[in-house]
Amino acid sequence: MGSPLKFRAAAGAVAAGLALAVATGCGSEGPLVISGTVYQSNGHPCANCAIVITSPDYPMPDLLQVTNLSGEYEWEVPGPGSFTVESATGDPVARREVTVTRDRDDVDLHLENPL
Amino acid sequence: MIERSRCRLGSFLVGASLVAVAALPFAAPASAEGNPLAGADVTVGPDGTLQVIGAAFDPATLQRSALPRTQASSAGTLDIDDLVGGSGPGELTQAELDALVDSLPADQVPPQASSRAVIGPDGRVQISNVTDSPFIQTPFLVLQEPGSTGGYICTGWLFSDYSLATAAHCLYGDNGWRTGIRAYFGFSGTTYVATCTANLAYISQEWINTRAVEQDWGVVQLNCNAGAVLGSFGWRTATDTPGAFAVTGYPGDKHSLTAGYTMWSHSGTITAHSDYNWKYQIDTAGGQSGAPVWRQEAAPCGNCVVGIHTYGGFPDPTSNGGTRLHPAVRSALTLFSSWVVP
Repeated sequence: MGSPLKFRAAAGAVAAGLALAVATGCGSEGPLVISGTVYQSNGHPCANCAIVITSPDYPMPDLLQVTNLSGEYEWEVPGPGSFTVESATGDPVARREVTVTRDRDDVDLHLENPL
Repeated sequence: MIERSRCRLGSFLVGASLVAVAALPFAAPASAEGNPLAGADVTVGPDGTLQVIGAAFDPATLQRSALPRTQASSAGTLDIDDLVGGSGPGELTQAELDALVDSLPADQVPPQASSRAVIGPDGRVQISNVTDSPFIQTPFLVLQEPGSTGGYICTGWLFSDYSLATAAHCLYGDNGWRTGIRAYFGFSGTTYVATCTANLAYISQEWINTRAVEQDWGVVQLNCNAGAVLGSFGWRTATDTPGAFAVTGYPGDKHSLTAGYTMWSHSGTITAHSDYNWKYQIDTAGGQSGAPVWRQEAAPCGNCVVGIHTYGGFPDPTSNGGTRLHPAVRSALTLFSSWVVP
């Protein structure tokens, strides 16, 4: 059996974990996903266009995701909160803010000018 | 799809402070069955979008001994071996290529045993001389998502004759191993001087299990000797306050329809967030995951890497961060440095 000091440390660690778990929405089942389609200015899907998702609420990997041939993307995010979906392709780039509160949010982007 | 709790990020941040993560076992090296990283042929079109130009990748073809040293040049790509041999269809003339190779150090240092990721004013500068060392050793990486025609863009850095390092989240994601990787060296816009694909990849089992930021690193064995020809970065451990370093890579927010994807760099002071991660106010953006945290030093380290860039807004919204070369990373770098393609 551990010493009282060790026990307190362990209990504190558990409490800290629980506190952060609550703060980050831990306990909900399933991943949270932002998905959508990037469209060109002519309305056609933008295949192989790059997008990035950033957030003031979470560290986000500095990845660029490239859409599939249907212009679609899907990005699992770490938890509920605010995110910005932005195209890296296009001039100007397309950008949308989204507050994620449910399992899946659809965020489409529309580029203003022809590629 | 791997089912994970939505609390994982918070959980592994807690884990970072509560658990001393020692050198962890690696995920099994990529094999023909488990990790088909040698991918379809992907290139960058004139408008900056990515185009799959080869047939879908067949995992059955991933036998190390069966992989050709030189990839087919049907798509007009210039392979490393072409670079050495001197007949590739690249954007540069042969004389320029020869001059490039001659200009690289013959004894390039051998490896030793987003919140918004732009913080305040954008301090990044474009690297125009992408064919100079060490920028030519910092490839633009294109990876494909399994079961999809989409993919990802990251940055890497050569650390040995056949191997590069990058972020684990570039190599392995929610759908498992990314099924293709192609490294473009000397890349700017739509031109590059060499390209090759991956034979094998290695990441921490801990990353697969928990996505722990401490284990967000990966190494890739290429099917070509890019490092032998173009040179490679040195690397070393560092104290908790090692001073100023740069992060150099391919930020997506700098993409333009006219210039395509280009290389950018920014320097700043790095400090330890933990034994496993750096934090810094160096500006970065999506596309720079896997980029070297480096600076030029005297021999033996030379162009010396002390970390791998991974996150924007880490460990807080006003910082960016990366993975330190902790013991598990160093072990992998050392192991892969000793490997060559048969």
